[in-house]
Amino acid sequence: MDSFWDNIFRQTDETSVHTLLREIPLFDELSRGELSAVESILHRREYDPGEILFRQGNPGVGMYIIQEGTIEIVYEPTDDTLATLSNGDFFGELALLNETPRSATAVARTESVLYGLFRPDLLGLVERDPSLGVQLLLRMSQVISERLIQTNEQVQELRERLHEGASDGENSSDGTDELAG
Amino acid sequence: MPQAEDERSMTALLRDFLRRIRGLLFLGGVGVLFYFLQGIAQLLLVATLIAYLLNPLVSRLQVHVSRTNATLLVFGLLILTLVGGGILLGPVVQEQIQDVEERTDVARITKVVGQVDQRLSAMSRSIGGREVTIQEDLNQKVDHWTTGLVDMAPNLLGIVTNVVLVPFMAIFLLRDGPRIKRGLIRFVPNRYFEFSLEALHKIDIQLGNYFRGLVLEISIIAVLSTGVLWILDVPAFVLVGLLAGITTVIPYAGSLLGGSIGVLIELATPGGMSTAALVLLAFLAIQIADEAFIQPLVFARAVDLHPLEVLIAVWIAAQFFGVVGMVLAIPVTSAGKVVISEGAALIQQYQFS
Repeated sequence: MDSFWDNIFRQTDETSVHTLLREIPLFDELSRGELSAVESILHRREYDPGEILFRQGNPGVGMYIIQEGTIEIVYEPTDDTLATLSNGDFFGELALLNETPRSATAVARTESVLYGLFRPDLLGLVERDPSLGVQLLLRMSQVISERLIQTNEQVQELRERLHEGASDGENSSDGTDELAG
Repeated sequence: MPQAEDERSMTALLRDFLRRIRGLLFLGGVGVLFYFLQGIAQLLLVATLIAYLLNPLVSRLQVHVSRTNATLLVFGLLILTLVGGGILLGPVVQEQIQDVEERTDVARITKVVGQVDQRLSAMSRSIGGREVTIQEDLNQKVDHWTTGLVDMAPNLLGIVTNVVLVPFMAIFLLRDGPRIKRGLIRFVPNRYFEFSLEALHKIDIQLGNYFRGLVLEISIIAVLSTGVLWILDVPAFVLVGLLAGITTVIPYAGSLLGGSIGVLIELATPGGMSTAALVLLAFLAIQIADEAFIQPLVFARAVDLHPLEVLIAVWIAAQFFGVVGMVLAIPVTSAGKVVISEGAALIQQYQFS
């Protein structure tokens, strides 16, 4: 019966998906069997250039892994491109943990093939296989904490630059006062 | 370069067109199949309901064994329970039917119905109406049912086939359900993909709660009714209790309708008038208890149906699918209502490009 549905809804060969998943930090420590379990809940989607994956403000449902193509993450009010992602990159992983709305819009810039991993499927997997679930959630928290550290460093850097800018401004205004005096 | 870009966009356009055509063909095929194979559609509906109810058990077992083994294990347990229940309850029910036959005074019923006929006819004539012939109508109905039962004999093979087909379909749906769902989602256009996933998930939770609540409600009412009927010493208390439980799916008057069989049995028994009144009161109390306490307790979120919706649903289902349709009408209508309300609530949250 397996082959029956596989023939009707054939997607792609298992090996290439495994190779793709192994490149993602969330899944790099999983065994072959565990990767198959993750692969069984992935959704393969194909996008044309200009097609929107999700819109800013829409409910966040899950993350995407790019197998092929280029995806732009755009902040809608200003149309600023926040990031350009390509083969092997992944995004939207926060939506796996939180039901918060999408913070930006994702647009396909070229013909793209992506794999989507969605919260309801992930929660189902955690329920069915708690040990795999713990591994996945642990890796996810590691990835998110690494990103948080990077963000903190960037905030710190910006704060320092802001301070430097403010003190430069004060110094220059002091100079002007002196000249005026 | 522009020519290459044009070619690429044409290919994309063609691929998108083919993808949509494929999706439409699939949906159209399913629709045509349901229209022409109404019999199979009924079986599929029953099998889907069974698979849906058993899915949480299979998912839990899947932690320890493969999905195939989990499905077979759950089905094995279900068959064992049904066979065990049949062996235990079969002789009791048979004995109770015989008891009803022995206690029923046919001559008395004929006499009472004859008297009612005469009274009503006299009243009807006084206002210029026709003669009332309840007795004749009843005889015709009984003849019709008996002939129907005799006619059913050649179709026995069909019934047996259905009894085998439904569990087979249910096993298939249960085992491959997640794969079928994932395969079907592939046909959803990209712009509605996330919305569909979210909607399916929310509908799944609501429907799961509803159907599991329904099974619990049926069980509670069946046990309660059987107990009450046993205390009141009504013949065929197990059969009537089970019937009252099953008819609970019809809101507002379900268990009362099922329990009315108990009232009729008591009315047909000499000296059973006072017990009949007690049985009627007991089922009124059960109906009120069901509406006031049991339903709010077992349904995580009640699927409220307006009395008019109930009537229309039962009538339409009876027209197209007969008795099976009548029993399934309310759960299917409730499921439809959940699908529409959850879908509508989600549409407001999404903006489609």
